Amino acid sequence: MPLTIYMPALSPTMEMGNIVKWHKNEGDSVSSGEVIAEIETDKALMEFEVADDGVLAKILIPEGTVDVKVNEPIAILMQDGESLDDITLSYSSEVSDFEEDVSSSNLLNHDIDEDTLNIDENVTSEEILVSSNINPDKELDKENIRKFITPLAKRIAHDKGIDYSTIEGTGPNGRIVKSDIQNYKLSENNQITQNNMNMIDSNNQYIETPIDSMREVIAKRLQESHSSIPSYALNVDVSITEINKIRKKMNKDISDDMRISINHLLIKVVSLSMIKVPEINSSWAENKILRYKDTDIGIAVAIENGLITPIIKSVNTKGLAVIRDELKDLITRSHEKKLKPSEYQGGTISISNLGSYGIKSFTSIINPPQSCILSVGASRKIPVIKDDAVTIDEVMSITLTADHRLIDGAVGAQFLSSIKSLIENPNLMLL
Amino acid sequence: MNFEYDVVVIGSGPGGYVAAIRAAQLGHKTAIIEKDNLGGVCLNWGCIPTKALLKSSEVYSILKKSDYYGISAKEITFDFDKVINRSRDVAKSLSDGIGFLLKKNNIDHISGNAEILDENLLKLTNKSKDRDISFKNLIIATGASAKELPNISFTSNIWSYREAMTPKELPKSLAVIGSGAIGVEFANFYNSLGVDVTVIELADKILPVEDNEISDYAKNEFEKQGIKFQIGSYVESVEEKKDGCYLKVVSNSDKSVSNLKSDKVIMAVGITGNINNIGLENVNIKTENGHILTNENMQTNVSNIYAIGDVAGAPWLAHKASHEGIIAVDFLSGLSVHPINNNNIPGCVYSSPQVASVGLTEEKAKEQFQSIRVGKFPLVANGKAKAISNDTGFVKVIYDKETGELLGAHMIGEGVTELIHGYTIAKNMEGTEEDIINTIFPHPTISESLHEAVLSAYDRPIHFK
Repeated sequence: MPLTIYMPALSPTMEMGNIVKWHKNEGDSVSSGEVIAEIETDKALMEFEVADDGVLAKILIPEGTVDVKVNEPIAILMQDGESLDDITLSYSSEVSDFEEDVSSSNLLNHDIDEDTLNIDENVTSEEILVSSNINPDKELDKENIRKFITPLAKRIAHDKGIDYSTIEGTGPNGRIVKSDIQNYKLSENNQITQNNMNMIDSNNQYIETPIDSMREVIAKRLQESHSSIPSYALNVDVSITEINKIRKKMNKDISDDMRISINHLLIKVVSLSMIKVPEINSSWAENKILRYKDTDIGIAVAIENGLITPIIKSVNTKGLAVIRDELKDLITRSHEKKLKPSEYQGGTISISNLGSYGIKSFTSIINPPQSCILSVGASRKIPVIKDDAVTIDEVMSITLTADHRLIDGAVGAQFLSSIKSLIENPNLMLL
Repeated sequence: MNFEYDVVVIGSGPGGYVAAIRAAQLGHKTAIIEKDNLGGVCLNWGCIPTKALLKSSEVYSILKKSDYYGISAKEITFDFDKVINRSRDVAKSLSDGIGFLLKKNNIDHISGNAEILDENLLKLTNKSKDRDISFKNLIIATGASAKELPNISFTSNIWSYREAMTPKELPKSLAVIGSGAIGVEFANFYNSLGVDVTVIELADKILPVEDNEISDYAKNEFEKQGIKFQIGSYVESVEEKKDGCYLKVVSNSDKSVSNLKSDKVIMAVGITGNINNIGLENVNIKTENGHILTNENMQTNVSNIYAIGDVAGAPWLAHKASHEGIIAVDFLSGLSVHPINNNNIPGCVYSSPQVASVGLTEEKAKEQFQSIRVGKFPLVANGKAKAISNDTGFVKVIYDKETGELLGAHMIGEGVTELIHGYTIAKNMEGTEEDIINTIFPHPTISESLHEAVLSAYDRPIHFK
């Protein structure tokens, strides 16, 4: 039986992907694990490996096609002894199945499981379940119901950044037509936008920028996080005089790019504190809390037109030099948009440092499925009274924003106090 | 309560007979009442017989220039009676065809006049015996009749379309009042047969509903063929004398009067719905300006009585009537219906050259949209048009610059009435410019001009700069 290759879901948030390049032509033999295509997701450019041996019999979606929905058939793989007739037959029957059974979640889920296994051995279906905060069944089903929409309606929806997946079409066979998009724009969702639009000073000229896919994901995820996670913030000033002393010693006679920065130390300190206060190292999974052994820590990186949070995995097993090297590599590849989904998915905490902009202190929005985020401000010198004398101390402000559903205030406070204690008494890190 | 019929249709034109067939196919016990020949004006006195006439004049015109194609034909003349008779034969055979279709679909064809008595009953009057017919649903498809001007009535010299297509002899000169599709087609037909034709039009352009460029181009072409136009003018009176008709033509702008003499006059100034003598008043069905008011499902204010086609208002087109017939029947059968978007109804003029259009004119598009793209392609740059030496005309498309929506398409030239559906499909399916640009058109055909016009709108034409 020829195998249909579907557009893979390369990340939990991925709804559509662009086929940038086919590495194989129709008729080429492929073996399991071989890269057959490059697919651009909302976050990265990915190599797509085939899971079976065979012949790439048919490319259904040509390279350069953008916005191919997850689970749309993109190619057909033929195995030994199969003829082209098999392909046509099985493909057409599959298509009709697909159309007839759009509401059958069994069929769809079956397809998905197969896909996830097929595609990327790094991202197993289990991982997706764990790392996604969203009910996977529900999410995937939504993605798979094929929406009929006219080319014009699709273009207007795209230009206006309207998610048409929930719109009921009024055209022939329920197809979404232009007026559906226009009516939608005027109704529900966009009352806010409408109000905002009304408040825009029409005398003041503005430039309209279309929403790109990264902006769409950022907007969607942060909106979801901000509206669904009951969070609170704790703030503490930490003296960095001691840790800076150690840092100076470490960086002596070391070339600039090998230096250990306060960020590297902070990552280590956060990891140690997560081990000490294990409630922090967990994520909310609707009906359960998942607590992890290893500490996976995300670092917020501002990139062109957006931001991404690559993750340093198992910091608890890594030394400062390894952390430094990994971070450097992750940041470089973040800017190049070459991260694999597994490198920015998951984690339980992120660190965001706006100190270099002189920001004194701030709060951040939790990046689901993580449970908290640390906002690190600029270091500044302050006068302190020590032994009845005024001396100079250097401090920075650290703010913890935590998900109250699984981290209570006292636990958050313990965690923050552990961080403070380790930074102010770096010797304790040896314990 | 039991009714004799589930659906009764009054009128068997392209609205009525299509509605009846659809109703029968959906399992309704259906009857159609017709006082005249099956097929209505379209088949008997409109679309079809005029196309037959125009084919004759086209063949005559081609034969006259046969030498150009290397064919010698001498003493080319025509037999006017034969031309007219062929047109009548075509109409009859199609009318018979409707009878056959009705029979095949088990529709009762009832001859006579119908008058609505109440919401479920009508009175049938015919030669044999009057009787009452009860119905669950009624579809009024009585069509329309040619309008007369307040001070000019139809006579043996002042023709409506009906007399214009069955004259006993060919007039020497002809005045045509009104330059809509009907006026222009008759002007073209008679002019081709050597009649001295003058067209008087109230608006300041001919084919008033068409795009300005099309109107100008058409006028220029017809003038080359010898048709004279008096635009921006109206006919105040027609005096019938023994030696012909004397028309008093008044200019809109300066009210200056000119006199025109012609053997015959064709008055083609529009039509008015056949709303009288069918008992509308007995159930208080609402009308306005000579047509019955309906909602988008073709229902009148009496919910089981529908009105379709010309009697339900403009545009007065057979294909609109048929489509409304389907909508009415589907709706009364509980099926989902998609209301007509008038911008997706194509319009055609079967003169030579032909004119076809769908959607907004450039002028209207500019009024309704912030910014538009216009593309044009002349047939002189089309290979097939050159090969057949019929390269008069052009194709024009108008797009919404913001969304790529096809707002309008306008064409003039050889066979364009057979091409407009390409744009109509794209428009109805809400295709964007990309869908047409990505479509492969067969070479060599005039249809390639549809492709090129869209390319031109997006600044990328291949065969024209």
